[in-house]
Amino acid sequence: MDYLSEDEVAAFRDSGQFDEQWYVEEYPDVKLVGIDPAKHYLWLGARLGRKPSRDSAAIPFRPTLEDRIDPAGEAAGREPEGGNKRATRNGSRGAAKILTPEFRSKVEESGLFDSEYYLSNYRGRISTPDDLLADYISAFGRDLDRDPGRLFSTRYYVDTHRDVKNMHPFVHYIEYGMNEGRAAFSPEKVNAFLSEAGHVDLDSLFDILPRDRAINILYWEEGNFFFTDVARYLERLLTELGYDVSLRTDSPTDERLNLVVAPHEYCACGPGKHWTAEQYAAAVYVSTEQWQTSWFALSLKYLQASELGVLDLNPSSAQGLVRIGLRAAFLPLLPLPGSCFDFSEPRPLSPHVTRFKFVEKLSYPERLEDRPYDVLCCGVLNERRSKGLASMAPVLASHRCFIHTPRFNRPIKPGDPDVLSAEDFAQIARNSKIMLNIHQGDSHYIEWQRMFLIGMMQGAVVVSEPCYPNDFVMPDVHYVEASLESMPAVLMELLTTEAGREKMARIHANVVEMRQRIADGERLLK
Amino acid sequence: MIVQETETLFHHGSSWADVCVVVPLYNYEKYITQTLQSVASQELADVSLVVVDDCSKDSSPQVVRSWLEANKDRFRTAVLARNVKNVGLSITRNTGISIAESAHVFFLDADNLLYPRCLGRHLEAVEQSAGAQGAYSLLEMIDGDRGIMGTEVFHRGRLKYGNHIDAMALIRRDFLLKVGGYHDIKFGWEDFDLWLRMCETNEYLVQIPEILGRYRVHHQSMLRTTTNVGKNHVTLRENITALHPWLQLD
Repeated sequence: MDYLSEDEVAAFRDSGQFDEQWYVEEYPDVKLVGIDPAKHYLWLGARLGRKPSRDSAAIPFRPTLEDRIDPAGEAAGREPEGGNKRATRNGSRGAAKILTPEFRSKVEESGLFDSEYYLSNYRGRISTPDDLLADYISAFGRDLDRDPGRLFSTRYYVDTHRDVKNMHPFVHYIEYGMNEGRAAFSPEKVNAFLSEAGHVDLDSLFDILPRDRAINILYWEEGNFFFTDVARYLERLLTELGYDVSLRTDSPTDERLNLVVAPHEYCACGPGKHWTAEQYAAAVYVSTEQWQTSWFALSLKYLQASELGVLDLNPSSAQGLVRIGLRAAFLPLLPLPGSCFDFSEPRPLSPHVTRFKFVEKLSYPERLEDRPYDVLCCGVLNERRSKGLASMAPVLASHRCFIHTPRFNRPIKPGDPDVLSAEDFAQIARNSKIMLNIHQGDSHYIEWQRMFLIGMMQGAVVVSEPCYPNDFVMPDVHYVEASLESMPAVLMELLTTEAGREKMARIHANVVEMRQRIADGERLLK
Repeated sequence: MIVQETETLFHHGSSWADVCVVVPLYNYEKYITQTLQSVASQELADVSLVVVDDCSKDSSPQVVRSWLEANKDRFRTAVLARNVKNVGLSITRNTGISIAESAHVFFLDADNLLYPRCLGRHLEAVEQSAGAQGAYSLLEMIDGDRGIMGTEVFHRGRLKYGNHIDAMALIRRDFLLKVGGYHDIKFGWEDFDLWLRMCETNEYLVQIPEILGRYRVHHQSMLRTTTNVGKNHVTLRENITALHPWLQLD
């Protein structure tokens, strides 16, 4: 990620003002985001009013969970003892005070309070059935694990944002946290929410981008280079679809419709930082982030502000947005000829790959069974992936593999030989029978850029842990689904039995056919 | 290269294969048979084997001798030598290098295991990577904490923060002789020191992106008993940093 210069981050790290160990322990969400803590502080932590080290200011009394439960913040300065009992009393009084029509309307807009969810989960424990929101707010002192709906996690919010004190976490989130981009959805809740989606009718790209509007595609020049690629891809796609588009990195003042790629960059840090509420509402956003991340949290208020809607790079994420009341369409990244995601031309691998790794001769054979690699696995190593790969080692050891799973414990520098470019990754995928996907954590996204754009579109048979369902690619049709526990046996079957080879041939044929349809003009748009 | 005087306990064969597996042995009677069995099960047909016992206090050398008597025909050459005194891992490995006359030496500790394609793939990798002095693969950790290791490539930018590459590697013997083999570093990290010396002369190992060996994690390994013990660890960091001042150890 190139949000900040390495020099800037290094200078801060060496300044003596930053205590990395303390910061990571104090703010557990930093580990979840998985970026360099110093960078996290400069990028997000400072914005949230966090401290760079224990001694950067005097530490006030650190309340326990029970001591932080006064909904209206009336308890500031009170003694910690007896917090639970008193807070319940204060809680009821406070709930009445803060449940103003304005607050209720903000909750309504957020889509985060779900009466049905609340009733079915806390039946028998509800004191004010005619006002469930008031019940939730005032119950906090008695019932610490009560949540307002399928996404917001009360306990996660308290645990993650330890600076939130003397205020009900949900009230804090609605009033301040959402604006500040604080993570509020625990990975477990996101996972449950996105997993339980039945069929969800997504909007179409054409519903969200009126055909008669000229469009500015906006991205932040100093941001992540991937979003620059997404912006260029959109320029290519929308031009083909007949839109009048202009690719820009400034803040336009014309009458065209603004389509913002990655609002957590462009609007939170880039030229869109000083837009008016009307400008935010009039824009359409391209959402790029997974829901459990701080980046998504930072985007959410912009996505919710849009009157026209959101395009999402992930089908499950788009479904989720529709389910919380937004208009959202899936924007599939496809290998469009001539676009930055077209990896169809065989190209030599980068010299650093062939110097540092022993690479098979890439032969780009026609037939799947002639591909030189049996298994390709690419992703940043963490404990989960490490254990998963170890469980498969006896199977993998007897096959030709390209396992590219480096650990990164510090910021990635340009030219790091452990970084495999998308282009190199795609060339290897083109020469692999199977591409293995082990989810990074407990969330089960189909990682479109990796699994679809590189795996399936290069004709590899993707073998993945179960993914959230979507309408575009399906298990047993476009990829093979297997739990981590069953993966060694599934790999063994695919690679060594006749039935397995037939299954691979069938799935390979399906993805090749899909690639052909895309080459012929199919865009997977509704 | 510092080596130790040995007595030969077993010797079979007179010429050397392209690859010789060198096994330093100390008090691993419990594991050594399984380790040697994994060498015998290699798909690569032509293999030599040298086991150097560093004066084990258990019956390790007797176990190896019996095993070699039964399995010697699997190997072009099979040697069991015993140091005349206990000298530690570095010099024991060097002694193995001096005995083995193969063009390539594969270092296998007496408690670790190879998957059957291991030696063949390493030889292929080295033969096709003219610029590299050797090759290593990813390893599966067994017995203790499960996981994989060796997942990053050999480069100075990463090694300066700490070692991520185990000694289980195939290395050109003429290179090892040229650089004096392993240096005797008090309390361990002799393999790390070799990688760092390689960085200093712009040499490197090529990574085979496959899992080809099994690294046993248990309380008896040298890493657990010597290297990571309190004060030793601090001394070791100081020693290695004094030898390679460009390090910025984590």
